Amino acid sequence: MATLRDIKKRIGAVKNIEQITRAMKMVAAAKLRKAQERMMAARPYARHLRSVMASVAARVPSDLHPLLRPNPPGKGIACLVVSADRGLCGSFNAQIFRRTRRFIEEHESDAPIRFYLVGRKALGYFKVHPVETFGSMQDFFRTLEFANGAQVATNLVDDYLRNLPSALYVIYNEFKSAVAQKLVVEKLLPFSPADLPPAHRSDYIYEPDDPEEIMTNLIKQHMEVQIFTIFLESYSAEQAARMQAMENAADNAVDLRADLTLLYNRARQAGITKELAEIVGGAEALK
Amino acid sequence: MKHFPLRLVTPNRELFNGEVEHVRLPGQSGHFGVLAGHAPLLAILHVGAGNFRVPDGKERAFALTGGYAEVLPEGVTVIARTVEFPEEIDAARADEARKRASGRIKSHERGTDLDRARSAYARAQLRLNLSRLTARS
Repeated sequence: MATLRDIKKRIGAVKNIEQITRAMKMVAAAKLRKAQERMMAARPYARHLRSVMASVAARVPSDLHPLLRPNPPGKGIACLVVSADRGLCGSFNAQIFRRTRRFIEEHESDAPIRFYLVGRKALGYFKVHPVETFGSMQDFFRTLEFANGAQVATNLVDDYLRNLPSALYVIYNEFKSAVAQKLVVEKLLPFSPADLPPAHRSDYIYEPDDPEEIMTNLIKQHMEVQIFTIFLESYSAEQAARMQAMENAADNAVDLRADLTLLYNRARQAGITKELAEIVGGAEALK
Repeated sequence: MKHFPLRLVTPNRELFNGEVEHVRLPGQSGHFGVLAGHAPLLAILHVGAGNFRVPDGKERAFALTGGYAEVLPEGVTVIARTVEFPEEIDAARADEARKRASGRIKSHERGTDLDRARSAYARAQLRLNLSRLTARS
């Protein structure tokens, strides 16, 4: 049986865990709030971009543009996987990987599937379960900038135009609320103008005077902000998941501490009873 | 002089939203100016400097890196990747970035993305020029 001292040590350890996990929860909550503010700040930009694209798209025949037209099948598909840079956030990363494995099964007929991996966790996981990759990016979520999203978007568009996959997908965790994340699989390219809000005006002078070039520019810019938003969503979802995981851990620590305290008191009581019995026994023997 | 509303929007924030008399923007084939009553225009913007004049006659310059401008009868909206006012620019950092980019261009290493290095150089040079401009005035 564990000695009193052992139990006391464990109680101390559990207490520390409780404090650490509570602190981590607070940190995650603060980061979540910041990320949410940035999501709000990016909205006007994205909204305006979409409405302008809608009015230009109305003037460009959609089957002409390489980013609007689906590439013929045969060259495989591409997929962007967004995980986190860090762990300790519940099943956040594991869910992404499970969904990615299912994605591979679902799209067996479209093989080869080439991946673009985002986040240190994805890199680690797919080192053990190798897949074909054409790029990766990691260790940037802490200092997430628009430039990060822009760079990944540029890489993805370049690859789409060079290697002609028939579609580009993304797998990521969408931020639903502080207690819920939603796993999302979406098609990013070919870009479908049908998703845009209805066009309302298209009587501009174009500069340069080539709607198709303007469209290319707009789609690229739209991809940048879309990827940036996806990163922000994923980062928010990660912090929300971490908040929950840490809260659960702290609650568990409280339960565990109660159990251990009970055990400690029982052991102490047993010790006292034993000592008493010994004293009584000794006194009895002296008579 | 007539004025119209101008908005400068980036993914991180709305930098400016107010009435101006004139705005000058870096188009792909050169700078162009917009006054009140301009015909509807959609222009792709380059990396470059621009400026606008508010109704009391004060001019403000800004550095802009790529995007587009939508000119409508009811106002002008500039949607750009980044927009900065000169006083926000960290000249030391811009100089650092310029040196890094020029090092990348000169290194002739395999796997260097020359296009990216060149555009990084252009961005750094622009920010540097603009920050010097205000330092002098």
